[in-house]
Amino acid sequence: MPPTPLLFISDSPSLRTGLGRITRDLACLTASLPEFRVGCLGRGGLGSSRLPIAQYVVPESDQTWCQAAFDQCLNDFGGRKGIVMTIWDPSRLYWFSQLESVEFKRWGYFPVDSTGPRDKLTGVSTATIREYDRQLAYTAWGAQVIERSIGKPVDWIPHGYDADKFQPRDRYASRMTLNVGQDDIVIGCNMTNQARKDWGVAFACVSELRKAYRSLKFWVHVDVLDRHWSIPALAQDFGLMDCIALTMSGSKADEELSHYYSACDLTLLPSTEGMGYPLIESMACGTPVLHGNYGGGVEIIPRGSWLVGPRCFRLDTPYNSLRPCFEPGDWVDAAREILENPPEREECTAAVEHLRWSALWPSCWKKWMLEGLAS
Amino acid sequence: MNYEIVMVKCEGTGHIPGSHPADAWRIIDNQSNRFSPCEAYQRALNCRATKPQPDVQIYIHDDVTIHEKDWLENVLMLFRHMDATVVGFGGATSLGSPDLYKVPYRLENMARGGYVSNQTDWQVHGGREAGFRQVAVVDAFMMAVRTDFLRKIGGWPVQHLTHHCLDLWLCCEAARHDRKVFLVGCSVTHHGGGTSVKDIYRNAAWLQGGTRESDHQEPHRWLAQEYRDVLPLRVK
Repeated sequence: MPPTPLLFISDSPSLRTGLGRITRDLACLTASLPEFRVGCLGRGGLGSSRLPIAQYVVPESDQTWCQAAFDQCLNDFGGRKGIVMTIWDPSRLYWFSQLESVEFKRWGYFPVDSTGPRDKLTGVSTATIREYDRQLAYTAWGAQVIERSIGKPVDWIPHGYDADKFQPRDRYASRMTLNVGQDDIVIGCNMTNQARKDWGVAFACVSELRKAYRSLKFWVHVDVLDRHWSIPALAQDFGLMDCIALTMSGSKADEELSHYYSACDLTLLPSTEGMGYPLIESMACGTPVLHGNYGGGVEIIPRGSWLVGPRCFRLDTPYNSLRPCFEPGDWVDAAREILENPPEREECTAAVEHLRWSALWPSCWKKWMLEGLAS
Repeated sequence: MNYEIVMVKCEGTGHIPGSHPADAWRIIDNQSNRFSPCEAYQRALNCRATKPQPDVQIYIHDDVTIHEKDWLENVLMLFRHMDATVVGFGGATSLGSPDLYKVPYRLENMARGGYVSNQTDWQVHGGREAGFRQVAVVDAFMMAVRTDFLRKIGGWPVQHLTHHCLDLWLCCEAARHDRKVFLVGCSVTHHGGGTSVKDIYRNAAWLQGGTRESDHQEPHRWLAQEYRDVLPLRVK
């Protein structure tokens, strides 16, 4: 049997976005199976000669979510009778779901980061997902949202992380790396500058905490300083200019990031996530993480006291995404509880141990991939 | 088809009906609890000096009473005609939760599901099955296994297991090698509560360094780590 062509559509695997990393890892692991011939049509980045897969890249300025390049790409890849697997929000893929007379199978790995009115996805997302031959969610919560939307059972598999890169590092060296004091209280926040990532709550929380911990330092890791949020304006308005350790994503290797996580006493993630790499990475490095009590990311938080409940919800975006609204004071209370009673590093690492690719690939993903060929 | 009944003799008072030739028995005397059950099974597998290798070895606890005279024929039939590799008197249609590897390891996620048998107290254990059916795992109180398969997989896992989970291990190996596991609903009583809850077990040399609790928990964790390519097991 010749290998089955499998083309991923997502962020480019050479990008350091969460989606890019998931795509890179899944594509490379699948390429290790002789049953598949793997390619990737990715948005952004340049491609990389170090990856064992065929790569097609469209610029980030492309507003068609790869639609414009798809046909030409598929012809070149020779994948008309194979599988096309998307790793994107369904709202970007309506065009793909509506392609007619296709011979390839549609597989989708859907990062559901919110529900919507009547606890379902919006109509266009639902219509998109329905057209797939196989649907897969990141989390049990995401699978339930999709199930309620399309009216049939949906499986879920979490994505993994590279445990060689993300692991607890020596705290002393890590603090030297981040340029913070050994006795400082260090709180970290790694989020892109997007609307659904509530940098406002993060800064408000840290500002309040600083009243209790004068030697507090705030590690901010972000992709751009000014977009939906102005990070400099937040720092200035909350009076935190003198205590911020700023790093820019895209410029830091994973191993370096693991030192930054390891330097922290706590990280914050006031965001809605399909799953959320910063949650996994923080705990993999032995650092507790405070997360909103909403969405699939909740499933990997080991203690209920590390979850902050929303005060209310609002609808957001043209896709009617239900977003939680947080009270910064609730984050302050929960953060103080963790800082006063820090967990053992082992509790954090144990919470994500099953997500190491070396464990997750053979137990879940490899089976799912091969089962798809059998069906 | 040649067979051999392997019984590790402790303090059980079971009864196996039928007329079996002397060379069909392999009794391992373990009343002093010198060997772990796994070690005793391995000794039974290794004892080949005086007779040819049987096609099937039938490992039965010594506290099992079989109430059907034609039990042996029913067991061997599954090897002859159904391509069975493992046969038991009790079995479950699943081992392990579907989320076993999607969430942090928990012992309860390694539970069996859909256990059926024709044990005289079958209600205590699960459902009833008086015929035969394919299952994911059998229960250790009776395990019949093709001897060549047992040899192919390197014999009993004496380096990893002592008492618990030998049945689950055998069926994980069967799944890994794409072999079939069956139960036959034989009327049987597993008296249970024998050696494993007595002081002789707690003081056994092969358990030193462990406890009855750890001897239960650690094998499950080991299985979950070792057999992630086939677990969770499930048959329809």
